[in-house]
Amino acid sequence: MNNQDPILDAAEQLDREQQPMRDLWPDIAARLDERAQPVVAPSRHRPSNWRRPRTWLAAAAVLTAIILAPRGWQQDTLPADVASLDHDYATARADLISVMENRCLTMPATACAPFLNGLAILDRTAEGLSTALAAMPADAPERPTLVANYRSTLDRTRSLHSRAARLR
Amino acid sequence: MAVAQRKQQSDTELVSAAQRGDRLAFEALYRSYVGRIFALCVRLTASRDDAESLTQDAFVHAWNKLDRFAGQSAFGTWLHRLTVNLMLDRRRADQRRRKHETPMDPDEQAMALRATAAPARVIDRLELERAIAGLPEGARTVFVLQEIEGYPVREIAGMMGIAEGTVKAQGFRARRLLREVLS
Repeated sequence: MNNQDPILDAAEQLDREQQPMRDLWPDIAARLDERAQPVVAPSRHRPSNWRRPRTWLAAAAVLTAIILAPRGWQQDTLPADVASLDHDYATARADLISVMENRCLTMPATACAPFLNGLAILDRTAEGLSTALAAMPADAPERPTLVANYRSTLDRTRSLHSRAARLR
Repeated sequence: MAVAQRKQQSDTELVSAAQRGDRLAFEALYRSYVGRIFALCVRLTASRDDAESLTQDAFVHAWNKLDRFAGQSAFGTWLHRLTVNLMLDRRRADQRRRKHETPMDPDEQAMALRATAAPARVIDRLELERAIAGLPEGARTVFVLQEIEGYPVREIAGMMGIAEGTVKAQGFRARRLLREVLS
């Protein structure tokens, strides 16, 4: 449309979409998890659900599913930067899982669930970024943004590990 | 079902699933709309850091209010409006906190911008984005909502809690300042 005003014409041509420099979803998902936490009053007289075998068996099943989930995005021939990020992510993931295996058996399911959900989300993010980077030409202009997003996902996994390690 | 596959579903299906607590459906909605919402937030806040924060807040807010979405408008329209309202609420709260501070003369900002802007006959997008970011808050909000996002004056007045005449005046002021900066 021609407004006969170059400023309004230029304003109409501006991009309606811009992508953030990093993936904001992991932070959003973590906040949704926090809000989903039910407020449970402590009770001395009634055994918590956590003491019931079915509860921790369910959590253990979720954890096992995450541990055994196929890492299908890891391929044999990958660009060096992607292979390095995949390796670092796998290490951070393994560290987190080793902590969670112990913690999830000794703490309430409500405290364990956000970490399991967070890890599942980080897995999906890492998978998407790794797959996209593996398929992308080395000189693609979007590549640095995706690499930065992958590093950010890696940092979040390490941060989740630190938080899990501090749980009592 | 993976998020990429969920994005093939219609917004109506995804919203309906998300309203039942399906987090993957909500993530698919996020993936569809984050570019649009982030662009809006960048222009309204004139800061990429603030825009990231506002975008996150908007999606968390949308998740919490999802049960109130009755499908009378498109989900994108509802989310867009919710984001604008959230930003305006934050700004009002900030203004209440800062009410004792001396505001910078908006025309001083325009003059500062004018000093750094290169004269151009054809308005470059980047230059225009920079000039919009340098506008005083009220004028920038009106310009972004009216000229970029296409909201009618009456609706902007309602959202901002000001008279339609004030919206028009702010729009006029925004265009005048942009013309000065970009000439």
